[in-house]
Amino acid sequence: MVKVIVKPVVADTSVPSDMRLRRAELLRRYSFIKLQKLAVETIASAAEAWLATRASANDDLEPFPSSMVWISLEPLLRSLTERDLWSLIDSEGMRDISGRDVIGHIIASTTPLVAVTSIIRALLVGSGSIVKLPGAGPGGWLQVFLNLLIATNEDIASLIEVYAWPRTDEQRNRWLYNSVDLVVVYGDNHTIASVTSQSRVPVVPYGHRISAAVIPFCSVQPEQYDGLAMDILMYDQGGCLSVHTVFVEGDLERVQQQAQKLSDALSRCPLPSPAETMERSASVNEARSLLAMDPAADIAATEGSRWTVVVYEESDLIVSATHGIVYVVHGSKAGIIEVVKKSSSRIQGVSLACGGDLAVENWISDLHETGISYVCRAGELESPNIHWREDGRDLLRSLV
Amino acid sequence: MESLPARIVSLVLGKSDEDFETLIRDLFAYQYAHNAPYRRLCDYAGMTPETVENWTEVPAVPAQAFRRFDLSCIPIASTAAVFFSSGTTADRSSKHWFSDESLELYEISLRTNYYSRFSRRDRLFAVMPNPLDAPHSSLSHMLGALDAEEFAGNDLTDFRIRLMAATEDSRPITLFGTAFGLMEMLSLGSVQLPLGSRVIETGGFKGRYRELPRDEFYHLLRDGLSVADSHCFSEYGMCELTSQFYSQGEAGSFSGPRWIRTRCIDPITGRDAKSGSYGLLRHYDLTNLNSVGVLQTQDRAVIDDDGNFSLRGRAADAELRGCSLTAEELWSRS
Repeated sequence: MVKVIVKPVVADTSVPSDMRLRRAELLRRYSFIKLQKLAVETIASAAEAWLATRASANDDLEPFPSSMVWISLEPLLRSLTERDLWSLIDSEGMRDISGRDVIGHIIASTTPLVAVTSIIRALLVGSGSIVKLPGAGPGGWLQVFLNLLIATNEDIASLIEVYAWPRTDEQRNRWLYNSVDLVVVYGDNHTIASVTSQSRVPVVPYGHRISAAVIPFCSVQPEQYDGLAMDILMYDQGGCLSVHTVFVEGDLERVQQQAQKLSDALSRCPLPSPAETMERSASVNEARSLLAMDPAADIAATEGSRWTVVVYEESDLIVSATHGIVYVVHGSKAGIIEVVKKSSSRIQGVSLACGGDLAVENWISDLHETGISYVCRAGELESPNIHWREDGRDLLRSLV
Repeated sequence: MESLPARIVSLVLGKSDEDFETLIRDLFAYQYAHNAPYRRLCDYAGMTPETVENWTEVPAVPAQAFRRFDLSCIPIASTAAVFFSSGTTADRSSKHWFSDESLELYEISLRTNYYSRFSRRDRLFAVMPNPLDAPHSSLSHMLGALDAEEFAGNDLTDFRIRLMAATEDSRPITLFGTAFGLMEMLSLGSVQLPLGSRVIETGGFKGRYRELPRDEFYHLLRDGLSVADSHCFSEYGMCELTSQFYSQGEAGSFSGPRWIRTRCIDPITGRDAKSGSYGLLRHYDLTNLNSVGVLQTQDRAVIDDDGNFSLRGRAADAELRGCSLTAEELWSRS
């Protein structure tokens, strides 16, 4: 039986998953070299089919609308060619090298593509995957991906099991730890600490981070502000690639001009607006009130709760308190680089809004030197391809 | 003309029939003039003493503001007392600063409110620390001001023995305590309180114990203390609020004294929630003299036409989110 459909629960927690046996059986039928090749071919074919069909999850059941998800999904799928996948494998020296037999993926996140990319990485090193989604997590997009894998190659698809349960279900958590050889966990500090303390196998943690943007001292085109608006509002500012702080090179006068242009771009951003719920509105209202009381903050906001631009006196990385709040701070280039360097372990990526190519090149180079691995142009932050080194680490090698 | 504090005291003591609206607007004008963070919020909202036309328009501060700012109309150095939401430390807790006048008003109002509902003849036992040991706990201060006879402190076993000894006297006892403290005490064994005794629970469980649904908790109180449902009360109060609300019986709704008004706000529209629908509680408390009189909470509730409300949990934003860092996480890594 192919065990790839998203399941609500594990049927019998007293017996570990038979994934290890299934993978061993596949390795008897194929050599590891052939299995890795088959995985690459299957992923590439499934991605091609996905692009052709543009199959989507049911918007009514997912936290984010498909039109938003496809902005991230399309560049990812386009990078899943056989050539790109082998290039990734070779860049980490992982050709013909196997990962752990079975990898557990704990996804404590609502962003829909985290599980997809995590499974792809495991397949590229020939590992089996047992995926734990949150109790109310985003299963629909993963289901679409798994259906495409089944249709492409059932053997490769059989290397994946997906379940959903709340993190407080200790019995099923233990079952997972007893069934895998390594755990990859995506979540907040609490989740990671909890998994690390309970797991008997090594844990690869991907903690929560935020992203930033820089407006260098150069001419900025309207489409670049539009790009910044996308980088802020994608996934309702809930992803690790969502921008929370915009650093403006220049003085207070310039930062106010830039904040105004950013506000205009946020107003016209074509991304679908999230539903105004009581919880969301209460949270945003509270955050705006607290900011209004802060003498260092100058606020501009939309009528609803979608976005809030805060010009802030402190030139530091500032985390949004809740949905759609972005801080705009200013400083010299050296000052901004210093702040980014100081906070680099908390920054996932930086997008740049600048018209001049030379200035962009200089900033990219300087930002890379601070330890930021992912620097891109405004509007591209939430669209990384498979080569993106999340947390700046070797993604495949960490699975060995 | 009397000073504003004196006018509020007169209202509290029932010596004046000055209308609430005039007083809350005068309180707003005073706090707008003397409380800088609050004034900034009002200016941002475009609401000043000159533009506000109705008491419902007076801007509210979020309860969280008491954590972030020193909300005082006098310099902090001149304040008479400060209460912390945790009762023990200012770190990340709400801080409610009181002037001499506002502290006096607090004590007058809490006694007036309490004794308008509960008998002065009952012996009062408090399941909480003594105010001398917890000088920054508003709850301990309140029970001190009510001349509680015994405090549990940190030794519930000894407190229970003292309570049992007190039951030998037939005088009714009012047992006032945090839900957590009462449950802890009852875990040591039940206590048969004298006929006519009352129990008042407050404060919830604050994540320190397994949460009990209200019906189970009330069942525990009734059985463990031998009191009728009509003699079981809940108190709704908070560090950021000077006045208290009480409800009677498991199904009772909370009511406050005449110097506080409460609305249920739909945060999406900013207007009163539709009748029968829940909203978030916004309190207009004349006794919040030195801080801010209008407080916006995250407490979800349904309110009736008389202004009495029933709680429906808190407007906690969705726990599950993307892979983005929170401010708390950023701080915790600093």
